[in-house]
Amino acid sequence: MQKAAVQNPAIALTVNGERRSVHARTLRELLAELELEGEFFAIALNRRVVTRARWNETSLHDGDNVEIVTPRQGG
Amino acid sequence: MLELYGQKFSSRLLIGTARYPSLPVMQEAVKTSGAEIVTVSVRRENAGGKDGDSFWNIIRELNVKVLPNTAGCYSVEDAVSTAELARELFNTKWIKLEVLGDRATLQPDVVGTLEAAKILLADGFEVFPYCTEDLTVAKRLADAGCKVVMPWGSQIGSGKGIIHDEALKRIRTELPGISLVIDAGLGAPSHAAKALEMGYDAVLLNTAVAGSGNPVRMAKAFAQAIEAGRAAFESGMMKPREIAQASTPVAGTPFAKPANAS
Repeated sequence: MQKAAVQNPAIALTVNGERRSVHARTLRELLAELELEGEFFAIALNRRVVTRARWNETSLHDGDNVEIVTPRQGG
Repeated sequence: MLELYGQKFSSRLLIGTARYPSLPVMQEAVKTSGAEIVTVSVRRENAGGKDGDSFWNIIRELNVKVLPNTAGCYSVEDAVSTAELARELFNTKWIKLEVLGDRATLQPDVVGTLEAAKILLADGFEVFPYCTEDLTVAKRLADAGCKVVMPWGSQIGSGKGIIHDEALKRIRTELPGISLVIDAGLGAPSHAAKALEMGYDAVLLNTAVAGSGNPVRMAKAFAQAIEAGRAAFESGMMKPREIAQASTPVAGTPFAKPANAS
């Protein structure tokens, strides 16, 4: 799967507010491509939360907006 | 016991996890405070997600209930989306709802807060709305289904304490069945004691402890003040009087002349 993702032509995404060119086609592949090693993420794709169980199957398309968040200090 | 959406707690302090000198100091301060609920946020990942992991591991070690916030949201849409991410991330229905309306005062946008609260309640969230001392807003939030309402004492991080006593007392009187939490603005333990003396069910604070000279000791000071304030409220405080009333019995005062002597 990893290899197939690398061979895909690049698509443009907005990830956490930054424009990025990636080869990933699913959320799971995107996490690997961005080398996110943490375990505690939540992801919204075009503002809709995608549960962890669906990261493998959720497809990415050119122009998608992805927010990847982690727990942080708060008041 | 403090009751929040059907769950009971013995501590009446909800404490924030931000702005401490270090994570170990935060952890120790939370432990010392006796708080059973801590507030946390969701933020965009950085450092490969490791920052979030190390913070989250410390929170999990504390074995406390987590109340995620929507801090920094200035629109209903952002607050609702952030709440949905928080529910996924922390696996909780609880959300401290902040929809801010002004960047200088961090004053809640109460119209947006009510709108977002309705959306989130309909979606199954248990909403803790941060609001002002406005009575009608508090009532509308309660009418919408919020079992907890959290008016500010004063501006977030200001440490000014409770500056709207009359309005906040009125909310307490008018909403006897709602759990009321003073959220924001507290600076000194006496401010927290006052909130509890006024009949508020709990206080939520962060900077007053985290930004103090010794957060761990200050956490203890707040815990003691909150306990004292609650005990005072439950005991029923004396009514203030216009003029003095001697506490020592007057009868039998040595050298006193009989009242009928002239």
